[in-house]
Amino acid sequence: MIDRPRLSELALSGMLVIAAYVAWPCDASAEPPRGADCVTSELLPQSIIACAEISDVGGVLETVLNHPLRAKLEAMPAYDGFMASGAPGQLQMGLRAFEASMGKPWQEALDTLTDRGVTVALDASDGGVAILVHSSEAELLERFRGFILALRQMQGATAKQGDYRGFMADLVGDDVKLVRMHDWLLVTNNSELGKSIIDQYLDRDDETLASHETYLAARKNLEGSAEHRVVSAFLDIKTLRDAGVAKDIFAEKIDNFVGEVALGGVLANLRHTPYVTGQFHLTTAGLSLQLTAPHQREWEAPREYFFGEPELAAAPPLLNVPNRVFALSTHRDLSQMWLRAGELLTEKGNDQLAVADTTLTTFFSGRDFGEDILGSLDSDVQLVGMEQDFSDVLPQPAIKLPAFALQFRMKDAAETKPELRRIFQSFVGFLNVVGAMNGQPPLDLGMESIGEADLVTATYVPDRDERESRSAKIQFNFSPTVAFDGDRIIIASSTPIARKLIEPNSDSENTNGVEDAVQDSNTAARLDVTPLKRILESNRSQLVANSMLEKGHGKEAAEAEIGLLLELLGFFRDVGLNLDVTDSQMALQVAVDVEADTEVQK
Amino acid sequence: MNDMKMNGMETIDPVWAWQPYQPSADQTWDRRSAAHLFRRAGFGTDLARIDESVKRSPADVVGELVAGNQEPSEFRSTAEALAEATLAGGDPAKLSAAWVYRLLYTPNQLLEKTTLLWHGHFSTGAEKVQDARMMWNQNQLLRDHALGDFAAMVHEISQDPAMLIYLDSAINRKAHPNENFARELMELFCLGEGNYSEADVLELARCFTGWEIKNKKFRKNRYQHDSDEKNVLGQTGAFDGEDGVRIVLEQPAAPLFVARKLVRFFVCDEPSPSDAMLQPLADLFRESDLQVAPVVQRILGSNVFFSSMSVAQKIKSPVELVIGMLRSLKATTNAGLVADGLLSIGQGLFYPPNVKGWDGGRAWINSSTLLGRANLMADILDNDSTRFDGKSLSEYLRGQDVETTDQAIEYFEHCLLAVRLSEEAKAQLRETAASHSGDRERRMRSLLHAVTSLPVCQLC
Repeated sequence: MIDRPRLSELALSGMLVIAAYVAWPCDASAEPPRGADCVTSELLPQSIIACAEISDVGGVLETVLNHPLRAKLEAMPAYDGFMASGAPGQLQMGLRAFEASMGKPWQEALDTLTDRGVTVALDASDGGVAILVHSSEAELLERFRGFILALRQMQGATAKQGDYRGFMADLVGDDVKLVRMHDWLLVTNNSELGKSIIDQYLDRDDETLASHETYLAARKNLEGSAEHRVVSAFLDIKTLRDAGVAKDIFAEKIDNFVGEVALGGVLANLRHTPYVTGQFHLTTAGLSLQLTAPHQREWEAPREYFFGEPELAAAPPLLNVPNRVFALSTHRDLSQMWLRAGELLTEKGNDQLAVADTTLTTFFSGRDFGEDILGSLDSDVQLVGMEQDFSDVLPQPAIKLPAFALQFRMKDAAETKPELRRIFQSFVGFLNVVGAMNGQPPLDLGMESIGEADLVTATYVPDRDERESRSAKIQFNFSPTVAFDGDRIIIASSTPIARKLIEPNSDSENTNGVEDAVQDSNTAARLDVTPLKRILESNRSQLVANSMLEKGHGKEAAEAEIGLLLELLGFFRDVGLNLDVTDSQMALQVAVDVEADTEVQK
Repeated sequence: MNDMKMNGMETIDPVWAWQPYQPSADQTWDRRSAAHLFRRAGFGTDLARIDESVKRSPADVVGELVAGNQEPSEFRSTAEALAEATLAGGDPAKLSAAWVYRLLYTPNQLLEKTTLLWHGHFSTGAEKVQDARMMWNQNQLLRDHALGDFAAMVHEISQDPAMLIYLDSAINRKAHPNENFARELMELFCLGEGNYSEADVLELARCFTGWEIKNKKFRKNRYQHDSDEKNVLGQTGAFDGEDGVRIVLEQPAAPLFVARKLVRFFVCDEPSPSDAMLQPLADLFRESDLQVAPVVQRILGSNVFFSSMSVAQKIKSPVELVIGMLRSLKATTNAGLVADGLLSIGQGLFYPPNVKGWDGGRAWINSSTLLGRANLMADILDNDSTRFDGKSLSEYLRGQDVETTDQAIEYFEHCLLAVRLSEEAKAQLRETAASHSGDRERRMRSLLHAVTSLPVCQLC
């Protein structure tokens, strides 16, 4: 490695400005041809299988740079450390050189450079990638080209150029070429793709992505309100499928039952749908990603029990408990999925399921697990997790985990309740026998009633000298409980969460706010960041230890890293996920809300 | 005279051997001898500390090393907090990583090195004990006494739950005395073969009847203790377990046995020293009421320790190789990666192979472990978390005024090697560095990997 003398900021900027102007070729401002006013899809060939259009780079920059969280970020000690590290100085130097070359502030320059859109496209042949930047100022694009070339020269790269139909192509990286076509800037790693774009730009006489049937359908799907939308994307699934890419995703059967329950219906749709579109939205309040694909009910077989049979079904409401960490609700006919596993799972998956079925059938006193046990429950599945309060509890576990509970509706409570209660009691006895052999603490069975509801509880009994422990084993996070309330059965990792779901005054089935959206969704989930952060805080010593061991950090560095992680986590409010299915469309939406209203605390 | 004395351990003059080392024209006190001391009394140290030590007398440096026989409270609390956090998960494998971290950061390398010695001596394996807390408690016990009272260590280890579970001695009833612990106490821990009879084993086992582990804790079950008279190693009485341990430690063979262990560990594995050679150390051990530190100090400051009988005469254990490289270059890395790697090449911390512990010496090396050592070094040097005094290797070396390949070879030679490199080996290393097409960092890491893979780098 050869060490070069450090240039002063001023000298570097000056050299870049001069180099940018020197690099300006005289033929760059020739009259625009026929393709000057076209849209990006009219330049791209039909072999493009994926493309993403970034519509408002300036707006994105403004949202990010003027976001209320920026002040909070800058108030963090880690930010001061970063500023003192020297890295920002290099960034500043680069930005000033860029501004000097562009002749205007960098934000304004980037905004103008990209004001007519940026598109990233992936070609099916040879994995070629093209980036097309469309600007209202051709002159600024040329300055930018000059800046890039000057930067390359300063890095010691040899200038290499080629000409294609009057346009100069500059090599700006390993196989990466840059071409300015009046108010377009093309960057590509594939010469053939680049030539086809230039041909189309000049001739406009070939079939393009804009006339591709699948793309047109996808564009139509993307129509509608574009407010705050910063990226629109398209992926040609059919071409990928036909080309044999990612065969596992498009396979008829998958390997395990859990994967089938979680994603079976989505994968079934991907095996038929022609395309997927994506939209990325960014606002001060947060960001969201929505993926949409055409859907038809006839594509569902044999996975109709993922969606609802005979009619499409919606998930039940998200459960709500105090200090909730997460909630997930979904519609799944687990019994039918279990019984029809032969049609859904691979041979390997079925072999595993057969073993599990035999074990579970034995465990459930000879009752068939798929037909009798899962078959006794409705298809509404609700899962909820909450932060546990250990403030008045002894012994306290050293690692503090959230509690969780699974809620189902029984089809025939009178028949199912006594049976499942007996099975739970047998299960606790089984755990005690196995646990005793492994030196684990025993579980103490208990019963309690809240109103009309019955709870069967099991509590770990600590050793005599560990009753006051504040660093007890991980088992002391759990007090397995099963609760029966009307047609509801709740299987909980701890008694308090079961109580919260049973207590008559608790707002256990919240139907306001985000939860309303569940009514139309096949699956909905929500992660609440504030209680999650509190759980991580209470396990800070474990996180610090992990950082020390895995990264070799000293204690102070590990504490600083975990502190930073937790502070950054505090910037987020919640994460929501919805899978919506209609007769014609499947849409997956993930939304992240940030704490946009927070005040800076120094 | 020295040549005659140093022809072999069998013929060496014990008086000369254990006399304090005085630097001379033949045996100079220089970087090489100081680095030897730090490698044997610990795992290795950086060149700055070696150079600083060369300016002082060897006796002063040894005295300082031995004086650090207790961890500073701040480091101990950090290490204990780390262990507690690891114990919360209950996985003994993670505990190995916590010990690796301690080896990398401890300011008292001799204490940790001696703890490692006793871990192999009082061998106990986590794969059988299956309880991280018990393993850690035993580790702390060994550390507390590592340079202290050997008798106290043996008394405590004889009631240690991890040890008794490992030796299948969690139950010991008077109707069927369990001979396991009694046998190992004499054969492996205190006396060695030939210094007791089978009758002594049976009688000593009777002393320990009623000693059992219940609910992971040691307790004396008086209903199961054989309170009748026993005859142990020539003494007769209604002895209990404590009496049994005391009688074993009173045997003349005990200090000789421990001295041999210490000499093998700190001086050389082969050839085995004669009893006459060891007798001065055994006498010192007995005179100091079985305190370990005085004997270790005598060994580390002796003529024989700095002689050709010792320098480069040991094969590095995996821990010495890896931790030595890291400490010599002030490096830190993923402790879990190191812990797993050490296990794969034969020295998993908390996972000794059997009740005899690690054989050491030539047993460390075979074609498989040699390849494993090189692969582990490559894994560590490839890992993103591996930093050298918080920097990249090339930045660290630049800070040491090391710019060229030749300078780097010389630097690594001083830090890591017990013998000088031949010109042929240097040429080979230059070739390795030149053939690497990556950036300077990759070249330097590649060179370091080549140095640590050399046969001479396996010597200590």
